[in-house]
Amino acid sequence: MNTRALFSPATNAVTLVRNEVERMFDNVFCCSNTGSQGYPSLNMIDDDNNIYVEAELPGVKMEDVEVSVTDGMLTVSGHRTAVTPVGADTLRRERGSLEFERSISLPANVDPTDTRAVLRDGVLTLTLPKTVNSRARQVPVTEG
Amino acid sequence: MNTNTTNYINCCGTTEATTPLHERHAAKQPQYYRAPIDVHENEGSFTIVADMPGSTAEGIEISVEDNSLEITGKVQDRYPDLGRVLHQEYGIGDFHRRFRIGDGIDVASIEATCKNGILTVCLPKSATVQARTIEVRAE
Repeated sequence: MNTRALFSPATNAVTLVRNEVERMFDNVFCCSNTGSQGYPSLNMIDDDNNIYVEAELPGVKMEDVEVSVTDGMLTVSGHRTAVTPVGADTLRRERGSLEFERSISLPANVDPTDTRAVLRDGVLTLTLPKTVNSRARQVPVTEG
Repeated sequence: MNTNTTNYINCCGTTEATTPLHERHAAKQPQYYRAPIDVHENEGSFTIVADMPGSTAEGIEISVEDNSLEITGKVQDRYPDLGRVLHQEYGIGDFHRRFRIGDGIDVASIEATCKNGILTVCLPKSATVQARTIEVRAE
């Protein structure tokens, strides 16, 4: 087998069916902006020094959010209570109360003691500093 | 209290994102996300509560035309200043919902606030609608 074949698009039936099913579920879940992974959905970004994890938590108070890092796993948990104004009837409810917990493994070692959390406009942003050993570094190459 | 007032506000079709996340990002999100809402009613008004994380008061647009109320929440892309995206479960884009409202709403008195990513729109009922409830006192 030549190396090109290893990287060519999937052609066997099982892979094709799996791709089709994944595409189908993409369409089912994209509209609610919430994936099948659970609530809240998480995005993860990194640069040389930090990993940033972001979650949309509209209406959740900072004191009702708990963040922990253990053994390379980040856990975000908390709750939100949907309020009906006093004396009002609810005609339609799509938001509801939330009780959530989500864990995700971090791709690099981080220093849990230095984690920063900011909740602004309903968006939680966690900044997790990478440990010195996990940071990107240039490897000098010298002519031999 | 008369029950007909519930007809004065109805959700109708919204423009929704229908493409997979990765394609939407490649195309710079031309679509809107459908903000989840609650609608409450009391004697004097309707209240719409919408989840719009990432929106601020400056980015909210509320317009009423004919019998259609539209709310749009602009959301700034938050990632250009950060590094590379390692893992993505949701997209970032503007929020939108459209509602059909009847003549029973006092359009000039609609008020809205935005806090913690939640938009609250208060739609007072017009005086004529409120006057339909006639209190009868015993003598």
